[in-house]
Parts: sequence; C-alpha cells; structure tokens
Amino acid sequence: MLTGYAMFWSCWIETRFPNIEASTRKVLEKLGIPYRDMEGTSCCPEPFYTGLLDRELWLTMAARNLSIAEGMGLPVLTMCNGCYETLFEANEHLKENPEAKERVNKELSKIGRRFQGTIEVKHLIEALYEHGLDRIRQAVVKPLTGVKIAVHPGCHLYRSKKPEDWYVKAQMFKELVAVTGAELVDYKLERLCCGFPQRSFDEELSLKETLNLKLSSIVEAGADVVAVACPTCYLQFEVGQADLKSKLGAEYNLPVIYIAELIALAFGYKPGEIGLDIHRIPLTKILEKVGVTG
Amino acid sequence: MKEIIEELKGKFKEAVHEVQEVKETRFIVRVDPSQLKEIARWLFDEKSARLTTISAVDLGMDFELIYHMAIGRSYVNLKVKIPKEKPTVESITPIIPGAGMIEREVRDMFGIEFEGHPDPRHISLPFEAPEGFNPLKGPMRGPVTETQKPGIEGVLTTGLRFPLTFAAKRQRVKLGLPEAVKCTAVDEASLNEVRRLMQDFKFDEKVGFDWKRKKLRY
Repeated sequence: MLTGYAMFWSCWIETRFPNIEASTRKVLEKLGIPYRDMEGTSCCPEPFYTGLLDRELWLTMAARNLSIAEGMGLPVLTMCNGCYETLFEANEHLKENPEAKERVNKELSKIGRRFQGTIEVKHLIEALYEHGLDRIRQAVVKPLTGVKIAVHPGCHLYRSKKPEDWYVKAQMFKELVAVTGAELVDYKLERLCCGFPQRSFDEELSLKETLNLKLSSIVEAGADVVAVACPTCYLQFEVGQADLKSKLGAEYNLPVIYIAELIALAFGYKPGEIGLDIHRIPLTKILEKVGVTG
Repeated sequence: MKEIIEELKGKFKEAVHEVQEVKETRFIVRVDPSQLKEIARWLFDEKSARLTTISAVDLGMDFELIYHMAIGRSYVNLKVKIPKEKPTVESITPIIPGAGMIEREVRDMFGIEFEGHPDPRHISLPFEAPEGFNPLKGPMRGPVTETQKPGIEGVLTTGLRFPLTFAAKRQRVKLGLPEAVKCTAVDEASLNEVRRLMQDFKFDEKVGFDWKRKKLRY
C-alpha cells in the first residue's frame, strides 16, 4: 500500500516557482499519490556552495532535514535535482558510514534531533514513474499531440546507487514525457549541463560555452520546448536566454516547462491554474498546438 | 617550554584562544588582540623572551600578525587576527623597543596601525607616500563569490537561499497555495536549530558573516 511522501519543496520552489509547486500538487492529487509537507526544513543545503565550503555542515544540515521525514515515517520526495543530490547522497553516505553517522548525530543531539537511516529519498520523476505509466496515461484528457519536446534531465538526476543505473531516471523522464502524447525530440547535447553552477565562477563559460551550445542543439533538432525536472535548470534556461540575448545578441525564445506542468497540462488543467502564465518565455506556441487557452 | 605555555594559559585564560604544539620546541598560540600587549610583556619580562620578528599575512577578510618570540632555543609564535575593517592593534614597542622598526614596516606594507607606537613614520615607503598606499594590502575579500553572496546570506539569516518576497507570496496565494510552507524562513524554532549548527561549525566565521548587519563583510 502506498503510504505517501514527505514533500521537500526546496528554497527555489517555495520562493521563486509557485508554478512548479502548484502543478506538482495537482498531479499528485489527481493520481491519488498521498503526500504531506515537511515542516521546519531548511535549504537542503545545495551541493555546490555550502557543500564545497563546509562538507561536514552540508552533511549535518542534510541529516537534520532527513530526520524530519524520518519523524513522519515517510520517504522524502524532492522536486529539485540539487536537493535530490544532497539528500540522496547524504542519506546513502550516512547509512553506509557508521562513523560519519555517529559524528553527525553527535551534532544533531545538540538540537534534539537524530538521523536514523530509515527512509529513502526519491525524485518526483521516480515517484511518478513508479506509480505507473498506465495510470498516468489514463488520466490524460488533453494529449499534447504535435508538441515537440526536448528533455534536459540535468546533471544531478544521474545520481544513482549503482553506477550502471546512471541513466535510469533520465529514461524514466523521457517515458513520462511520451505518456502525455508529446513527441520526443533527440538532440546531440542532451548530457551537457545547463551551465547554472558555472555562473558563480565564470559567466562566459556558463552562458557562451554551455547554455548557448545546449540551446543551439535543442533548437536545431526542432523542439518547441525544453522539459526540465529541476528549478535551477529551469531558471538557467529562462533567465540565461535573456542574458544571452542582452550580452551576446543570441536569441532563441525557447520556452521551458517543468515535468509536473507538462503532465498537469495533459491532465486538462488550465494554464492559469498551474501558473503557466508566470513563465518569462510564453508557452503560446505549445498551448496553441494543444488548443488550450486561459 | 610546555610549562611556560601551561602557565600562560593559566594566567591569561580566555585570551588564549588556541594552542598548537608544532613540535617540542615550537608552539603556536592564538591570542585575543586586546591582550596581546600584556602577553608580550609577560613573556618579555617574566620569561626572558626575545622578539625575533613580526610577520603579517593578508587573509582576505583579516590580517594575521605573528609575533615570533624566542625563549632559549624554543619558539612561541603568538598569532592575532585583526579585522580589515579596523586594522588596529596595540604597539609592543613601548615594552620591546626592538619592535619599533618592524611595526613601522608592517604599517607601511599592510596599513595596520600600531596604537601607542612612539614614532610611527614611514620606514619602507618614501616619506611622501600617499595615505592609504600599502603595497602588500589586498582587497577585502572572502570565500564567497559575488553571485553566491545573496544565497549564503539567505541561508545564514533564514535557513533558505532566497527570501520569501511579497510578490512570491502573492503568486502563491493566487495559485491556491499557502502563503508560505512552514520552513525555517517562517518558523523561529527551526531556524534556531539551523543557526546553531552553522555557528557550531563556525560557518559564519568561515564565510565572514556580520550578524549585526546580516550581511557578509565584503
């Protein structure tokens, strides 16, 4: 029996992307997947910055977040690739390393918490896929026929317990997109990073030598939209395109859509109900193809 | 030597922040700048220490001064950290006259002021060198890059990388979402837990966070 998930919404989604949160809630509710919001969570914390500045603090803060879900007795569900990497890796590391677990628990005991290692961490992609493609297909009322979609899995989605499973979640992502009735578009640079992490250190590398190449490859392949499973990739594709235009004169105007938004659209939700109207790059072309308004 | 260090710890208590035994004949002792002069006086007067030299290091956000004090064949390296925002420390020249020229050189090269120095003229720079010209003083900088500053300040103040803005709250309500999820940004007890962890790990010190201004120092 499905017991449900403890929702870890993440800083980005809570403060910047209510469209991702609204569409995720609607999709889970439509599919009858139970969930409860985690309360008192902090930043995961993100793997690049806090993780690099102080790995032990990164591990301890992640363990604190995991302990909240353990208290709820539910597996964690993340909607962000970065949160997935942090919580998944911290969870696995602490489960496999008793010394690290003891060290972290010594710190956590000062704030009255304890990491036990009793739960799993899942990405939304896995949760939806494991719920069943057929169940999702049955809920589709507005197939996205004719919409050409390029999938950008995002680097952190490749994290897996076994190295040979690195592409499993990316494949799940593609199958979820296909279930909506949309047409998957293959492009050469699928594995290339969106370029967001490089922005902190080298904007030219991030925009010109990463995002620009990625967008060229997607547009060349004829996609109408790029689908993502991460708010950070989402931001890089949207804001990065504006920066590319102003700084390099490169204009793509390629809309971005989060996987839950895509599925919610196929489930018949109106754009205004799931926040598609707050996208910086309008999804007009796709909505016209599907015959959806408002 | 060990006995002298133990005596120093016992005498100056909280002013001794850390003691590191590099080897039997060399100890690094981090001390509070406010007690530096008294510690130097005690070592000089009571333990016959000699000042070999003073080194200055630009750490980015702070300067580190190292007072190399020899006692017989052993060494005590007294270290103090001086914030770049107010690079001032008491001069030890009134106690150890031999420190006079070294402090003047450090002042010239790094812009560190030695309060109470009897003759703080230029020594390495020309006398007409302009105010604020200090060849070895680097810019104020810390480990966090410009683009990451808001995120790190956000984590330290709210536990989240980004603030819940009024616009975000309005959009959330418009989409039928609660105005805010009960995260550290809106739950004081949870935020205190996370802050405690960050302070225990000295993360605030490491990144140079000023709790009064709720901003990074650079």
